[in-house]
Amino acid sequence: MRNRVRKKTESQAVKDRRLGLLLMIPVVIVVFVIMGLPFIRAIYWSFTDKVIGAEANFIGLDNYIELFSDKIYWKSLTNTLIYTVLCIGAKLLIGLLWAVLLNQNFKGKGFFRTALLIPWALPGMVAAMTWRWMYDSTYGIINSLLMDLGIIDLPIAWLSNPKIVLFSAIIVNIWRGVPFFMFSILGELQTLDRQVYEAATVDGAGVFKQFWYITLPSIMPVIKVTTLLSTIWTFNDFENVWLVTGGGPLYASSVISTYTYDMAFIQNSFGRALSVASSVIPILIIMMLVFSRFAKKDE
Amino acid sequence: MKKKMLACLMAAVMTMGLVAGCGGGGSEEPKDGDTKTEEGSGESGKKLVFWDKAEYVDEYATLMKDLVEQFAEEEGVEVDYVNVAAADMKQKLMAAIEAGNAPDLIVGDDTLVGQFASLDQLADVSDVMSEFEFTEAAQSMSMIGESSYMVPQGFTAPGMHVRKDKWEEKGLEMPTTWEELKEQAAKVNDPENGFYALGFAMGASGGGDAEGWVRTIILDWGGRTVNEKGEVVVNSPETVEAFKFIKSLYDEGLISPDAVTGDDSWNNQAYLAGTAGLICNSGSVMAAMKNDDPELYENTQIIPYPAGPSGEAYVLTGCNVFGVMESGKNVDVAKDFIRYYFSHQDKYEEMIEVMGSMWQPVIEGMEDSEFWQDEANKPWLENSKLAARTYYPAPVDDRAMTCFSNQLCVKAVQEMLINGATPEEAVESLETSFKEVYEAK
Amino acid sequence: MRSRKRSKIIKRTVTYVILGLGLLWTVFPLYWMVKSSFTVASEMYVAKPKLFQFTATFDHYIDLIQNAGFLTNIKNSLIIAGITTVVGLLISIFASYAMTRLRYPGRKFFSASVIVSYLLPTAVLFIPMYIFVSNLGLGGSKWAMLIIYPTFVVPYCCYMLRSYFTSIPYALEESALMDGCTRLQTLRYIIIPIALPGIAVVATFAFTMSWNEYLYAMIMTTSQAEMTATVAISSWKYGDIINWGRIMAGCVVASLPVTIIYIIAQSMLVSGKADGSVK
Repeated sequence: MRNRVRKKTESQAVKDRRLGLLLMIPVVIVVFVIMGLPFIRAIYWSFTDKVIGAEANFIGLDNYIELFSDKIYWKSLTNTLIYTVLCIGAKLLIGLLWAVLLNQNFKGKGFFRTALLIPWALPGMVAAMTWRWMYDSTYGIINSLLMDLGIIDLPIAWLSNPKIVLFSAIIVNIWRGVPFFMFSILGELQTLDRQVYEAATVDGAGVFKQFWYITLPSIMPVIKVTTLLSTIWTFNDFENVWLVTGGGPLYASSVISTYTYDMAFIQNSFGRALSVASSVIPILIIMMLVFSRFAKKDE
Repeated sequence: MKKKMLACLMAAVMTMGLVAGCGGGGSEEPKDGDTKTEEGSGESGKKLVFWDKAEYVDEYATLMKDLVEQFAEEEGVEVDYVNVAAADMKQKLMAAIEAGNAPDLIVGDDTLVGQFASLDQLADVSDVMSEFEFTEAAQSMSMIGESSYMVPQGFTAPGMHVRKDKWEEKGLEMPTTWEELKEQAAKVNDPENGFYALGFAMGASGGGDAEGWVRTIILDWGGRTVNEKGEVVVNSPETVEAFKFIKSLYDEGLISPDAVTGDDSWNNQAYLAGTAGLICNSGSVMAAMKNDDPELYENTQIIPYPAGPSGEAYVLTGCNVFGVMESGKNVDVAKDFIRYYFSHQDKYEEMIEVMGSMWQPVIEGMEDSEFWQDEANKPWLENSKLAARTYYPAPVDDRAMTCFSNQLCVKAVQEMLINGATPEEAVESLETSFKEVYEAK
Repeated sequence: MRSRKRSKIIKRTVTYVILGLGLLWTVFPLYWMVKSSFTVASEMYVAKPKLFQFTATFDHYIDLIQNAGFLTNIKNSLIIAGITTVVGLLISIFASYAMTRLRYPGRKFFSASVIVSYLLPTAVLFIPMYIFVSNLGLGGSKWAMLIIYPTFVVPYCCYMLRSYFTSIPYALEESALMDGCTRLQTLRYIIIPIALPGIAVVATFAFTMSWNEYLYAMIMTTSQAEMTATVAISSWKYGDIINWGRIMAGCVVASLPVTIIYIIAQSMLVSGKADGSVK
């Protein structure tokens, strides 16, 4: 009896191997051909003095060495980290809170769910443009509203005060990103077994206890994946910062992606631009490894 | 059951695109300035890819498209005419050049197109320049180094827009010097009610308005960034004084604090919103007002540029130019089109006129027309004749354009306004950044 | 009993207050966008913007369709996002299944590379990628997007689907396999039905990502007829004039399809909830 089963699983293993490879082919094409080839070219260029339309000359590590003494580069890197950490923290907390609240039964929850989700449906460009318009310190609605409500006396220079400008961009990112967390977590909450909660309620577990011991562990995998994804997006975010603040004033809100763009298209220094962009790949990989370590612990 | 509904939803999401694709697949009519003309394709194999700068005035694209189609028909050439937003032009061109499918002909402003000359992407167009009667200013505009690499299409001279009503309210005459302008501005200024007297943008996110203005002030104060020999001479007491003047405008709150992030559209919007009382801009603001806010249009007066302490008043002007891309496959056809364009002078005049006062002619003999004799349009023409290139008096080369397009002067002013550098320090750092460009290699 | 009732009331109140604030924060920018799109041009640039009053007009929408030919761009976006979603999802379902259920050489390497590929900043890739698609003869064409968009849709879908698939107990399939089901059958009849809510979520986001993409589309397409909706909207910056009225109207129109899908998806999820356990 036992033997027969094993034999069957063995032949299954051979089949599995073939099937596994077959199913991976399209992904391999996407990753190794469509992304891989351009990526290799980009990395090569980061070691050259490449400008658009000219031959690239190999200059070794020069571009990278220059980065060390480039104040704006360090500024951009710090900004990128601040931007990522603050955005992700806020999006996760708010998203989780909303998701849990929306997972209850109450009047109008359908309406809330739908309305709260909409920012994520908007193109990032649209969100950035709209906010930029609202931020304007002379005729933006935000300042005029805050002043009418008596919250502030003088207009806040959302986009021109170097101390504030990065946070202005962060707010927009949070505004658009929270629904992603909410929706992902809510999707998982939907699949949770209701009976467990009923049992817990009977056992007298309070709301917070229920959340901590039942809800959180079961939605942890989704939280991790969502956080990871959003971290990558936020770390690499270009559109939002560029369209809201332009990285300015004077690089006050510059992040790695906008600095890359500035370097490539405004300063027309493509090799250096690519070295700026590539220099953060190790950070991303480390982030990735930390996350996957966490994820493994869980399984 | 519900799961099935979800499946349906998914299918709906997925098929939406396909359905839309099938529904409209066959009807891809060209529109809004895009046109493909098939004549001659295959036989002669000639094809002209033309990226024109998208203009606010719709009629322009229509006129240009008609002309392009006419050219295609008469010459038996296939033409691909595309309008590209000015803000996207540079990136798209760079990408296309890299990929080896650059257009044959482009239109853009002179600093943008000029940068491609410095990348050795533009063909010499001296032959075309010599065939038509370009104005002197236009001829100098076409030059990079010793030869012509750009064919001017229309000047986009700036004008100083003043809120006549606000100035009259305080009983003020129009300013003739910058110092006078500042005194008056202090009287007109009313930030409490969101009205700032001056609207000079100071953002470094691309675009030439801010850089042009700072350079105007430096010149009017007697300073020079780079002299005729190509030497960096920016670090002078005159420049420092000019910077002090600029700083004082911000310190005294005559300009809205958000000007430091303002791009080329910022001053337009501020003026149109009625939050700025005086701006320097091309005629595009007038065009927008004429459509959207006739009252403001009536209250606006275009005045000559005021003079600095040196007694000089410079007007730095941009220009829309044609550039023939050397890496395109049809240099000759592209040149032929430019010839065709300027041999149809009636069409050219029409295009200039539909642009309102935004454009000024580049060829001789159009000044006496009814349009340019009109009082509303005359100042623009005058400004375009006075105009100096935006990097005057530096020699016309790629270094000058690089410095201009990198907005070195704006960044130095920002250093002062944002990071609290003194005017002296700012000018010093400006010198350093100019030297990086001029003394490299 | 009473304390339970009271705690219920508190819970309710807290819920409403928090979500109410969230609603205000979420909806206000949307309101401002929509309002601007219906406001006459002369009222758009004013120093003291009015919160509620405005002179309504359809001008911007008429302009959008008649002069800007925006419907073509919407159609392009629908085609691109639709096809990308279908293809990306199929590829990812198979791959995620292979990654979570099958053993084969290089399994870990492939899984890792999918994840790493997702890290690569767009800023690094877009020029070399433009060259790549141009070499395929797709330079300037909207079809180039069908090659490019899977590069971010597929890794994303794989991440998400993998976690959904992992949460499904293997025991279910094991017994099916014992009964003689093939692997693909277990995928079709066990995994997919159970993971369906998750797949729907992923599909919706994949569609959204493709629909909303801006940077690649901006570089890849030049002619108006090939542009996707987001790129078309940004192209209405004419030098130093930004046609805000048209842009806001365009934003509203471009936001509609995805918003509608979300609303439908939401109502499905809500009703799906009533079922209780999916298992």
